[in-house]
Amino acid sequence: MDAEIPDIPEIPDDPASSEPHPSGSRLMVEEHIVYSPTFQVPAFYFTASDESGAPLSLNSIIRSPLFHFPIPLSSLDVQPHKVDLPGSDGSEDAAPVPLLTQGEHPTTGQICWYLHPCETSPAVKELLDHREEPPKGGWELEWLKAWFVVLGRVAYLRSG
Amino acid sequence: MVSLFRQLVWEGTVPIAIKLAPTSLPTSSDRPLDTYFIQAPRISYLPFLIPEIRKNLCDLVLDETSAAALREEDWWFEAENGGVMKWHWPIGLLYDAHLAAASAAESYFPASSSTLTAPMTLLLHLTNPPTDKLLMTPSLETLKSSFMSQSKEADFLRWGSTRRMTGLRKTEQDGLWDGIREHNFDNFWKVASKIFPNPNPLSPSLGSTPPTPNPDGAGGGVTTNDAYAVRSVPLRLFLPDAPAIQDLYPPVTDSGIHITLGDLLTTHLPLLFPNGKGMQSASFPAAYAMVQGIEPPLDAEVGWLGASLAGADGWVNVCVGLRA
Repeated sequence: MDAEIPDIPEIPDDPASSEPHPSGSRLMVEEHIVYSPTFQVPAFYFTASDESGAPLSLNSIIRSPLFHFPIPLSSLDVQPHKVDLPGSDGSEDAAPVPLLTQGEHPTTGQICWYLHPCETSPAVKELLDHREEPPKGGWELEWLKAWFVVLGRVAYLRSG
Repeated sequence: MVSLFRQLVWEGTVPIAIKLAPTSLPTSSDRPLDTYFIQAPRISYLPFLIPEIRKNLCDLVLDETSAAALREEDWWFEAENGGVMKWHWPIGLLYDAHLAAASAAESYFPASSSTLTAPMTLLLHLTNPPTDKLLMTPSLETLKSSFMSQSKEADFLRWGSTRRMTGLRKTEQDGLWDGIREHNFDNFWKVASKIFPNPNPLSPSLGSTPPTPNPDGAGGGVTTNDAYAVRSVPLRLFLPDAPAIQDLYPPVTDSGIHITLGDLLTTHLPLLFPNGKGMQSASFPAAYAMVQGIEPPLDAEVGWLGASLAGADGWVNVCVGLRA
């Protein structure tokens, strides 16, 4: 199985990039990659508003081109303030797994949405475990490249 | 002993004075200067105060039509000298941070009358919440979500997994939140005691063999709840007007020495706390550290703080201030 990691896509890590929206209107998205001091991994923080500057609802955000989840949206628990994956044992009483949540940006204090980082390390590790050759640029760089691949599975990362 | 301090933290309150913001008053109101005073629980949150404020302030100041038209989800609080108050911070933290910032300002510009013992005055706005600075949909559900996130982060910092929190049944997780909402110590701690660590009285102290830190999965099937075996105490340092400083704060060094609050402050804020003490000189004000409204002695152990002086969400919030 081919385990090659592709080139890192360009990421605008400062203000707004506009995304095409099916209805023809534009979204203003501000994306940040911030180190999470709790989970000790990078985390993807963002804000999204419409052309008038009004914040978009979470429902609109997950249906926008910004995200392409590898599972059907109907399997997600979408609430106005968070999106959860169903709990791991499938029972009604199981604690849900957070996917998208609101939180304070660790440096600016601005309220953003972020992809919950607690599942990141295992996903990246799984990718790195499949690498056959030792990396040319060192393992930290390799880790970051794998992180972008994991992020790219759910979020639209191309610019231009 | 631990439960004594947990009880004290639970029962701690802070004085808050609420005034309606001038822009939120209808012009027909003839009682613009009414202030409502609350002794608010430290472990609670601003939205929980709303029903009381509504009944005792708004319903008196506003006429019936205006009062009926109020949308509580648009309400927001502002500090008297500006600054949006965060819904999702515990009230005790809001107060201590406010006090530390005020003392820092005052140490350079001593006022003729001290504002330091006065209640924290908040202006209540009834409309137009600044949605970029607040949780976008301030509601009890949002607040509960935020509390759960903080509790899980604390869990993760301690043990390297959120197993203890996610292992709770949903009814138990709800029980934690309901305990805060109803301000019921027993109901809260019935669940919290499964999550919060305890300082092990047998933890060896200075110089003897250390207990091996035992992050989950690092070996053995034994789940420990020893406060001195955590990877890191969930702790944040707050300086006035700065983002919170959060790092890994292990309670024990590699050689088994219990780390104190003074050690931690010297390591992370060496200019303010050289040699584990607040620096003091004739021309420079002394720094101090406040947790739950008190100044713990600097030889208080960080592991113990994590077990006994944490807030309901598991976090030890240390507010650093200055005094002349």
